[in-house]
Amino acid sequence: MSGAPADQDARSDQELLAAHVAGDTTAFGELFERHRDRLWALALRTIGDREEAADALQDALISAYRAAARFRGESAVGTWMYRIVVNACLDRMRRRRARPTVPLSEVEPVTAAMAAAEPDHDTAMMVTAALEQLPPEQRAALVLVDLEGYPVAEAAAVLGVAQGTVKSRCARGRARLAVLLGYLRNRGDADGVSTASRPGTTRTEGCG
Amino acid sequence: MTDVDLEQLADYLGGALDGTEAQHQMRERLATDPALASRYAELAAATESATADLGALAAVTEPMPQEVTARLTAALAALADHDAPGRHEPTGAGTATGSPAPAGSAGSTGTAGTRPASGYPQTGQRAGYPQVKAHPGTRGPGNRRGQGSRRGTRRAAAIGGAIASVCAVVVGFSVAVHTMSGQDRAATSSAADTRGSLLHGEQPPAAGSIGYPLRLATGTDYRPETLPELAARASAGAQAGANALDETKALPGGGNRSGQPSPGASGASAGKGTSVSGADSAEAAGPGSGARPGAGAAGTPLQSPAQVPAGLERLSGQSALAACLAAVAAPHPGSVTAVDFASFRGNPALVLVVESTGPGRTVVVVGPACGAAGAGADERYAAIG
Repeated sequence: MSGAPADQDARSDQELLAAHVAGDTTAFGELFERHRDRLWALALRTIGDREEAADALQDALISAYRAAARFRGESAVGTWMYRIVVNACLDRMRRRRARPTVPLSEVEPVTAAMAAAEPDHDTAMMVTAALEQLPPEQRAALVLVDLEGYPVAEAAAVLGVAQGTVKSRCARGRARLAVLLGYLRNRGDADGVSTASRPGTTRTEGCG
Repeated sequence: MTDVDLEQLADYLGGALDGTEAQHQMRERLATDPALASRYAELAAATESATADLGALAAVTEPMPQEVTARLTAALAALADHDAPGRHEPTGAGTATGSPAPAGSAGSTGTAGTRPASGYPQTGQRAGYPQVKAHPGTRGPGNRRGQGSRRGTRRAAAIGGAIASVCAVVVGFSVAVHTMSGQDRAATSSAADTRGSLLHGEQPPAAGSIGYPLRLATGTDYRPETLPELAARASAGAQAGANALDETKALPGGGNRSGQPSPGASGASAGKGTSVSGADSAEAAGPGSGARPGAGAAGTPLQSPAQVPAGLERLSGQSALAACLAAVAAPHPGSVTAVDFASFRGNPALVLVVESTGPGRTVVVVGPACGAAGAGADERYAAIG
């Protein structure tokens, strides 16, 4: 039994993944250790619930563990792992999200409700509550770019979409967040009647 | 101002339209439409505020909680353990486990916690809990086999290190359930095509290694007097229940299996040599390798969540079920050999058969809240039998 400490592994992520595929049973654990906190932050912020985040992470890690042989090195190993995690989160979010996305023009601020429910609420709590109101795709993009600090290009790689799509999701997510947080009044009731009920408007992500 | 306009403005603001005709058009509209320009200015300012708030949230970081780390580490360890070949090199003369883990010798090894299952050779292979076994000192290089090998024999020292056995037990089962229910549909779609390698891994699980409880959703409305039926079913390893969810077709393995259709639960007695090999997997080099003396009954019924009785949906989730089993294990230590999503006296209930670590078995009936925070096992009934 090798008693070598695993926390001093000098191998790169890619080397670790290759070692894992080759049969090194310590390698994947080292990868997990290395990315653990970031994976947690990503999952928790994306899905917004600790238990669900843990479940999604477990799903993702098992998938990654077993799909490692198919990793082609087209992205960094970390990016690949984050992608699996985000997808596991999105999968769960879509499953539990029964209601359709509210058109932006009908979004109500969460601030008032929050103030009533949580008199001691702080900004982080309020933003968290607002984030939960976003469509999953917008939320995942915002978490990556605005919370986790990913460059748009890497976020696009993680999400498996074009950079323009990431920009669009982030921009629309921020706009929705601005309404939810009370920074932007919604004028949808003034002249948006004809379009407020138009289906799919908030899911239109195409941007060239 | 409409949704569409606001979202287009957001796209424009966020650079999503850069280089497109839409960007050009929006620029022209903004130049000629004061109301739109005003709205755009509002949006820009509000977005800036929202972004600043996001920054405040970004500053609040939290490392992975210890219990989550432990859980995931144990899950990986169980996975590594399960995939590891050569763990039970047939060196022992007909013994189910060439190297029985030192029962009850917690802390005697540097690897993950162990359950003392092999201390009970008659029941060890019924392990409802996957045991993260340690094989101290018995894995020389000679244990490495080329046949069917995907994983080395080094146990996941790195990932199993300090996990308490109870954690490993619970999470390990969670892995099993997870695998059964086919939920790993994450990005890689690895689940469907590799599930077999976990369930029917290259190595036949030897006695005391990872096993799975028989998982049913018969919907039976049990009464106290009918509870032994499930115990009998678990014991016989039969899945005669008409509505059992089991899909035994998931057990290829050809001649390697010992004919017995029942997966999971109790299966063969020690030494009988039930061997489930990963013949369904291209990775399995030798389907004929099943002649090893491992005694594990493996294979797992797959479950269709749709058939879970109303009220029990929560428990069909892997973590919820794992938490429930952990809650049940507190008052009823042992290996869960069968789980039936059913009802009891007309109320939705999960009925479990627990093979005690000592002699005997217990049938435990728990309610839908089993394992939920503060609910404990939500036990409704328990009977020795």
